[in-house]
Amino acid sequence: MKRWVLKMAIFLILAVLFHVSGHAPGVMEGIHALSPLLFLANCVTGFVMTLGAITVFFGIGMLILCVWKRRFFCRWACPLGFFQDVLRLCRSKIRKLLSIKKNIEEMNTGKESFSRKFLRKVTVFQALGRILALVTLASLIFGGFTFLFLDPIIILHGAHTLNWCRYALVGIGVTVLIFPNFWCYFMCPCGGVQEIIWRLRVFFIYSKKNEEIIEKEKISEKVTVQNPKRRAFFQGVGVVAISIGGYFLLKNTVKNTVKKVAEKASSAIMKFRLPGALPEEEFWARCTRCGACKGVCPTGLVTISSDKSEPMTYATPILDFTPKNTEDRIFCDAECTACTEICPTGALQRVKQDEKKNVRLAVCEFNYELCRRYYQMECSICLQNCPYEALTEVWSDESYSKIPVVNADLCTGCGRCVAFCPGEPLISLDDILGGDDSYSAGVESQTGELLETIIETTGFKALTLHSISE
Amino acid sequence: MKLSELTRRQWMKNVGIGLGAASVGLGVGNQDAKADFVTKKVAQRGTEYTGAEATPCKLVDGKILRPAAEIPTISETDVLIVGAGPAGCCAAIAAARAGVKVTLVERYNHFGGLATGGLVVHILGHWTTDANGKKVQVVQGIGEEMMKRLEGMPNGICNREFGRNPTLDSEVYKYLLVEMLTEANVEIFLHSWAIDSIIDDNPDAKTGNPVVKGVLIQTKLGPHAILAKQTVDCTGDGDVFATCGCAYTRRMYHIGLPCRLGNVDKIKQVEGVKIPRHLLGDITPVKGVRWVNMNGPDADGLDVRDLTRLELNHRKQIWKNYMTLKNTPGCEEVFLLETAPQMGVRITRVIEGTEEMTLEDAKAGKVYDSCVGYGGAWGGDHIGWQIPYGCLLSKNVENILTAGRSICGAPSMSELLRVYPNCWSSGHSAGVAAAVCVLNNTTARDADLKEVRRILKEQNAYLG
Repeated sequence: MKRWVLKMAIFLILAVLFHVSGHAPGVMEGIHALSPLLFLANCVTGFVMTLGAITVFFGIGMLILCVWKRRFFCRWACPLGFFQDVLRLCRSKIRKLLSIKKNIEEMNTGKESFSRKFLRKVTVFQALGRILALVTLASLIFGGFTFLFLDPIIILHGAHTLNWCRYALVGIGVTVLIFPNFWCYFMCPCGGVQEIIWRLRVFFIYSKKNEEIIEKEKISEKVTVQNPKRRAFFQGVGVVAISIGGYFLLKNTVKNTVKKVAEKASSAIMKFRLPGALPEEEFWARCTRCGACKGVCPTGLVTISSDKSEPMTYATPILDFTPKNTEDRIFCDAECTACTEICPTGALQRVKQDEKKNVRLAVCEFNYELCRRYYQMECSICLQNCPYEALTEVWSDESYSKIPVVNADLCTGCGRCVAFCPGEPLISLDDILGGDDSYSAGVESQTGELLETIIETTGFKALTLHSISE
Repeated sequence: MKLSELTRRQWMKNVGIGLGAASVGLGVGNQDAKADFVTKKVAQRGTEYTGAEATPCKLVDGKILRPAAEIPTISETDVLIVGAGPAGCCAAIAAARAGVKVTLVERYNHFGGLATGGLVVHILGHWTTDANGKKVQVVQGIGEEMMKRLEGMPNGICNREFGRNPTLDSEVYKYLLVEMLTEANVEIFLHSWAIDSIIDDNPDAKTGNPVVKGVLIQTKLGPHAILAKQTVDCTGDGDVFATCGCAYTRRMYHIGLPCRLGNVDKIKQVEGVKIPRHLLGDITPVKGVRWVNMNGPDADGLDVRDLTRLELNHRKQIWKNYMTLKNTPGCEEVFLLETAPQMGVRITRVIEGTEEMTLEDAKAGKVYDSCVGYGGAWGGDHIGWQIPYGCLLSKNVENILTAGRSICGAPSMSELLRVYPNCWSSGHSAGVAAAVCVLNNTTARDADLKEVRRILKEQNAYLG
């Protein structure tokens, strides 16, 4: 009963916190430190050095608690666990209501339900959570695919804004109704990590209680008790030695393999990544797909990749400079570093505001035939809007006017000039001959119909952004 | 002939001649004072002048020296407006309506300045978007009155729709200004180039600054003085404030030469031919006529060497574009209607006022206590801004105001201030302010801004 109450309390507190201040970096960090999987991930990558003291305190505290009690987070603190507890309650009530004969029979005769039998048989599932956790930690070191996005805190936090999290919650709910404990005990990598922690503790810290536990849980049926202390010690040493040795031996091999895979999937390298983003392979590993960066972006530039053909990058954040309507001004604000501050795992490294001018997001290019200066219109909008003074004017004999030119050394590809460029005056020859057009340096004076056409027509803006990798 | 010998017929003839002569004499005498100085010296047909009155400059030891001379006064007035561009015309009309005597001086033969002679016929900065996202027309008052009257004149103005920037016709606007200025009873001197300022022998008692008393205009009959209680420099180049000691900044900017094309509606699209749309300019109220803007290179708009070089180059460029058009199949009927008789000088001198407008302030929507006008941007954020009185006022000379593109602003702001609405608005404000100073007998610096705003509101100006 106490457990139940605590989990509910944490669920409610998190729900409120996410709603009220889910975009505040400090709160984000603190909440995410509760999950042992995320905290360990940050320790393994070294990102823990950039986290706040309170966050580290929470994280270490939770790890210690997990060493002390088996699956402490799962049983006492997991908000997803609370959610599943509620569903399990409903499940038993529904079963009672439906009076499923089979189950009542089983309950009476003590026979196992089909689902339980099935799961027991498929023994690999019993270790799936641990495997996912190990693969995640390994990928963080070597690069590759991680399962951080299966962390319960991430799923719950993301459900606030992201659709895939909502589907995951529904999926988990459904499995709970059919196969209770499936998620928690067999799938969840957070639970897996806690299992690993517990088993390591059992191997390293010998005590009579551990012996009983080993016996009881049948962890290793082949454990003999000749000199359990020595055995445990050498086992521990062996594990550590193999880990360290393997790390150094395999590091390059694994990294090269991953790189080859990445090169093959070169289209998976996203066109525009966020400021402070790590190189692609590391990014795929560290990003938890939590969607916090999207939530905190003030201009709506950050979007979530929905390209399912690239599983490595599916659901990761990318930059989308396309305006949705004529009023939109979508660009990366020079004064803002919110996304880099809020990322909980360091997939986006922290960038300070005065360092932002060194971050390259895209390459900006002119098509002068679409520039208003070519039409002898007196437009200086891009020049007035560049925050990095990367646009200068140069005389052009062909245009018989000065035209704006991008200084590639200063241009960060923030897209502000593109956002404000009113573009080529889209007036057809028929309009010219019919005498029904207007001359302006601002999109606002075109007729309503023309405005819609401008957004649909590609390439009307004199400036476009290209990926750095092109 | 003796009186007694006069026949009735002869008597009637003499009376007739006498009356005729008297009426001619009265008629000449009743002509406005402005014609007197001409008629006084007008030569009878065939009379020779020896040129003995000439007082040329002297070349002495390689130096050119002009002999000192007393300059005759041609007019004394309350408010003197120098330059009859959009700003100057608004100022003149506004001051006349405020109830003072107004004299308007213009170097060319027409009114409207760059708006007519310069073929800058497009009215940008007409609309802004306010905080609620609503479109607001910033041009009201005399500017709006002008646009309204143009609507009633054939081919006067087009695109006068909500949210659209209109274009007027230069020839129609020239005539409209003749109508409006004569209606307002403004004293006018055309063909008169303001070449120098007149300052009082005694500086201002309160501030110690020089006090402007009028200007010198150059005419074909030599320089003449116009004395005024308040002077408003609407030359756009600050020709007056530069000569009386005002602090100002001098800037380079691009200079172009617009032109007009005719028979553009006769263009036919021939298959496979790409018509150079970028050479066809933009709409005017006259069917088939389009005006083509020119950005041009940066140059000094005050230096005749730059101006001459640019005039020649610009004509070459216009001709080149014209030939390109003529040689495009389908465009044979297009012809070069007119090149602007006035050079498209955009920014030269900008006064240093007691307040300066900056783009940052404008973007932040700065509100001034001394607001006397309102302008709008024509691109980008479509914001509007208040125009403070301090940017019309010289910081170190008394009784001189300026209006139009030469009001005090940072370079990025001057770029936006040179368009019609700001000229109309600042001209309107300067005219009213000068009138109020005359009526209250104060210097321009001590203008009663409340009274100025009251009169501006009376004249339907928009102040944001």
